[in-house]
Amino acid sequence: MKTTASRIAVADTDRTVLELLQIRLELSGHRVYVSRDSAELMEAVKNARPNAMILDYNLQGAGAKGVMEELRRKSLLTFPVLLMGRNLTPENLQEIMQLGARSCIVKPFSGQDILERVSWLMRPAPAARPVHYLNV
Amino acid sequence: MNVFAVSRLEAPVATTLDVVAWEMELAAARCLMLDAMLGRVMGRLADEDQAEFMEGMHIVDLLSQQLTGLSSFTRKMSEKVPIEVSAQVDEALQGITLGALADRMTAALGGGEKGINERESAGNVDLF
Repeated sequence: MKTTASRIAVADTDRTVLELLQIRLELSGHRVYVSRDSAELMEAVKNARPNAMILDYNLQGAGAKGVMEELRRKSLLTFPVLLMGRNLTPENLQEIMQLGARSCIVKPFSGQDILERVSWLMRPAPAARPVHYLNV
Repeated sequence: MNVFAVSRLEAPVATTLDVVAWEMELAAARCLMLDAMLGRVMGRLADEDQAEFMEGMHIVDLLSQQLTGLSSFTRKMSEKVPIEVSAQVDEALQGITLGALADRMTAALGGGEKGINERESAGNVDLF
């Protein structure tokens, strides 16, 4: 699936997932900035000014919640966020969605799944329904 | 010797299958990357060489589909195995001679890793 080229920050501690996402997204024409912990991710966001972010719930360091809080505090959350994670509870999801994530994808997923979800993520958010629970 | 081999490492079979599924998905993605690279090279070849090259690209594409299919199968199987069922994985991990792969799988199966910011040498092969 071909999507409009964007700058996408991807953060996951798992190197396999990170490389899989990088290859799939780059082949779709996106520019990808990978990070393996929250400190690296904050640097990537500051420097690359991404158009979207794919964030693992259990990211090493501050975790997804800490990252979202810091992005909000620094007024850097100007792009849609896709949360990914394993065994996410409704409480986990609600917490992150309330902090501004637009969607989530549950691990495990295929390379094709993530492209479809990113394509969805890059569409303009409907004004009245910013939160979208999928695949939970 | 594989530096990251750990002794007596046990992991749930479901998790092990899941880790293998991720690795196959990554291998399939690498095939797609190779296919794209071959596609760029093919444009620079003489017409008479392109047919043979095309056959190679077709094989890479088939390999990618095969890996994606196996990944999907393995992922689904991982959901069928009760989480209480475990097996020792250290001996199997020690048999993986590609260092980066062994390191990633050991980490994913709970055996720890070098330190998350250390760069891996993706092509390093541990010789015996």
